Amino acid sequence: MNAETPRSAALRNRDNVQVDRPEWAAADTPPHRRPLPLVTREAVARPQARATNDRLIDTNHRRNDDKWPPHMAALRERASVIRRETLRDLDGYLGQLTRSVEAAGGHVHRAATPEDARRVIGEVAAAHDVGLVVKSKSMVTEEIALTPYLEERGVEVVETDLGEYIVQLADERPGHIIGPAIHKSREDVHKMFNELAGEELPGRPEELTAFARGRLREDFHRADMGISGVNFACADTGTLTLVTNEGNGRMVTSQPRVHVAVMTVEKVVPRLADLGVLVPLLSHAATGQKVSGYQSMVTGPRRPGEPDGPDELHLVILDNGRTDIVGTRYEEALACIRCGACQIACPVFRTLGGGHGYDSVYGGPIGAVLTPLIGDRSEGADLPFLSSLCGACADVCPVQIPLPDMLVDLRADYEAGGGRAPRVAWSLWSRFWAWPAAYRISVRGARVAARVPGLVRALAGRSALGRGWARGRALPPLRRAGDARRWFARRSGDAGGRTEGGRGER
Amino acid sequence: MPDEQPARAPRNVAVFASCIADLAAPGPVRATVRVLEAMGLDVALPAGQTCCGQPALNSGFPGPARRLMRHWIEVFEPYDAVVSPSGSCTATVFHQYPRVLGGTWAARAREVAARTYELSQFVAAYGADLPMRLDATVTYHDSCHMLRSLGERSAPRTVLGRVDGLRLVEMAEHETCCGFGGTFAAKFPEVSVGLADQKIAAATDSGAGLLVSADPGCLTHLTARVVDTRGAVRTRHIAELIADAVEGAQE
Amino acid sequence: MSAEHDDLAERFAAALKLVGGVTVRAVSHEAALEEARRVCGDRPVVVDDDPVLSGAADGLRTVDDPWTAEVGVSTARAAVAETGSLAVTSDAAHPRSTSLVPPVHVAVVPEDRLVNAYPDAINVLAALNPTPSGMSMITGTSSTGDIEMILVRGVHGPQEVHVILYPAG
Repeated sequence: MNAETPRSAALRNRDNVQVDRPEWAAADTPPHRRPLPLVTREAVARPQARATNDRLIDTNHRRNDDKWPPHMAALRERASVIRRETLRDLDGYLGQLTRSVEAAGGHVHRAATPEDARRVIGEVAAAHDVGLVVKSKSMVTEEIALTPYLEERGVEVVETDLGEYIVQLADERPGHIIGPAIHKSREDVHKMFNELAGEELPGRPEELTAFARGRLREDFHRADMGISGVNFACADTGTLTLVTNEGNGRMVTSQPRVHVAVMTVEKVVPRLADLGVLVPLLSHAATGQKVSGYQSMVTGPRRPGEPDGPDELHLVILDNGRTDIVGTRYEEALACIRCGACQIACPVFRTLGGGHGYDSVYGGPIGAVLTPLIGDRSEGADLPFLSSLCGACADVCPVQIPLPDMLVDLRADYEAGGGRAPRVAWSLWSRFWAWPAAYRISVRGARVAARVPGLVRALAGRSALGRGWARGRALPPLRRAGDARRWFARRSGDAGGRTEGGRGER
Repeated sequence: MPDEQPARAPRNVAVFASCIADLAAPGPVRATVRVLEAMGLDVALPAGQTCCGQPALNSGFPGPARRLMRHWIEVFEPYDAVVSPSGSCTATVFHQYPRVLGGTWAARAREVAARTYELSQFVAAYGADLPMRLDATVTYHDSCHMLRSLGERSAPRTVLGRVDGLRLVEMAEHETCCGFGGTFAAKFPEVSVGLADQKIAAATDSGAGLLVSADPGCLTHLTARVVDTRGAVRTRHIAELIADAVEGAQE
Repeated sequence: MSAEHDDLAERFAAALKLVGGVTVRAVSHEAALEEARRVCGDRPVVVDDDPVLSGAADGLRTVDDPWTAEVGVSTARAAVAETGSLAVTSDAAHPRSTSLVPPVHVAVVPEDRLVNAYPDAINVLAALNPTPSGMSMITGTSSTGDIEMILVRGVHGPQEVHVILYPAG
């Protein structure tokens, strides 16, 4: 790197910003260093959680009430078909995409692991003597922890999406797939921008946005390299499509001399024409817009005679275990178009005050499904339990992923690979309860136990589930266990209903 | 099949209590029997019934769950209709049984599921003539599985709407989860209780004195939270409310 | 002026208004260019080299570097009545920066390029051979909702979008 390498204007005096966040919300915290129940307990208890919840409830109504009027429902059906059609021949479409991008003059790198992806991008940066990178928001770059990797190599990386810029200054991970700073209040942002500016700024959202715009504009102009994600990669033309509202995606893909686009394998779509379905659907699902502000469609680097655009285009396609999901019962999880609607719709996500409480890169329902399936399948295996299985996510999903069913099935996978003791316990339980006499004995047992003062409380205290229930809740009224059966049997002697065993009685 | 002749109720009706009601909520089971009898039906409470298997399934143990599912099918197959005070268990039969069971069991599950009802569904379909009267202002919590797996939004409101003297006020977030979620309630208690508090606050703010739902699971959880916090809202299962209203019309 | 174009143009104007843009319907090509010049005033501008814009720059303060321009003047391949979107493509005569870097974007578009719905514009782009290296769909002014999900217009892309429609032919 040479001495004239530009330094970021947007991040100037970044160290003056006071970082105030729990460890599990940090930008580069490896997932699951602490037990998930502890993280969720702390997340709910944070003072910001309630305000975030209130805002998200409001957003949920605006975006998700009456989500599928007939014309959008039709689009949803078409998109569901397109996405599943793609997954059926994922390898074929990725091959076609690779040929198309290369034919347009781009370089394509297939990365099996996050390490591979980071290394390729690091090499491109080094080869071009890159000192300053402007980046548009991309979840896959979070998945591969790209920014810390480049920073260690002396490359400055600036997040240019306003929400991403805010969480970068706060040294946090994005709190939502498309709304990274969803958990920040305007006061939080105002305070950080004041510290950055070293002066008291006006604090309305318009004014805060203008401040960030001014700071980032210089970086767009001077950066050596742009890094972007990809919303849809069209196999037929090799066109990489970014969907944004702020215009930073267009800046990042057109102004610096090198453009690196990073995507995961499932972002491929068969045809450019599919954007006519997918872009309006994504816009509707994500933000309730008819269509998002900008779709930047990049087909190769600049061509001879063109006055602007990058000299080089690199496409990094990350797998990280995804192709192993194809053909399994979880294949449809790859149909996701990353709209974030399931997160907004999820009452658990909202009550946690955003995605940090999931302690993983991808939070919310899609995160709880995807995280255990990708990588080496060691991270976030217990995330599927962090759901009440209410099903609100499936209602809003634009590509109809059966998220609640997947959460149930992933729980079974988790337990199948887990300890023997719970398996034996549930097996015994089911044998016992499939036997009516034994079931009735256990009901009677609960009734008797409840009549011994303190016994139920003592028993509850001996099991993790009992202790969990007792946190903030009275014990259920087991004293009357079996009352209905006794009542029914008693009165059926005199009149009215029948008592009978049915065929299940053994 | 009930679908073909919606006006005439099946005669031979079995009540499925659910394990949570057997253990902690006998009232809704008694009320379900009373209401069905008031409709002039021949009501059974099969002694061989146990649990639908949902606790095991949602805890990650589909094998043990299947054992209980098969038992459930055997117990309830002989009846013209199955009626339950638990929307969640009804939804499990309807949605999970065919999905989780294989082969002929799945087919049998579909057949029984087609004539299995949550109580308010049954009353909405066959109880149009049932006189009901109750002076009360209530708010209704849509339990998630009944709302989304069973797709039932209107039946409880239809039935409540038929009760003379009853006023239904919709609370904010009536379609939002109360935080029960089976073992979720115990694994992530702070999140679960946080959701319960929002539900209880919404019910309180609605001005209704009574928080009504069609799920003993939700109500056990919500009541336990109300008791722990000495809250003012009272909870009531919809079966008990309907039974009260049937009795109220007889007075 | 055909009735069909008239209807599309009115719908386009209504849709663009909802997303922060302004539509002017000029009576002729010359009037459209005059309107473009009026919006530019004496501010520094970049103007694309395009038959639709031929003569547009006359009398304007044109600059070479889009980063020093306050207005960028382009045309569009298609304009979408339902959404107020513009389909813009880049090549040697049409830099990516014109519709992006200056804070004000002016697009001069003949009405026969109006299409009904968003997929129609995508189909116009998909039919181009070879596929241009840079294509953009632009719908209104740049915006963000990243602070408390409150809509703010004017972020990195243009803060003003003016679309000037004129009867084709």
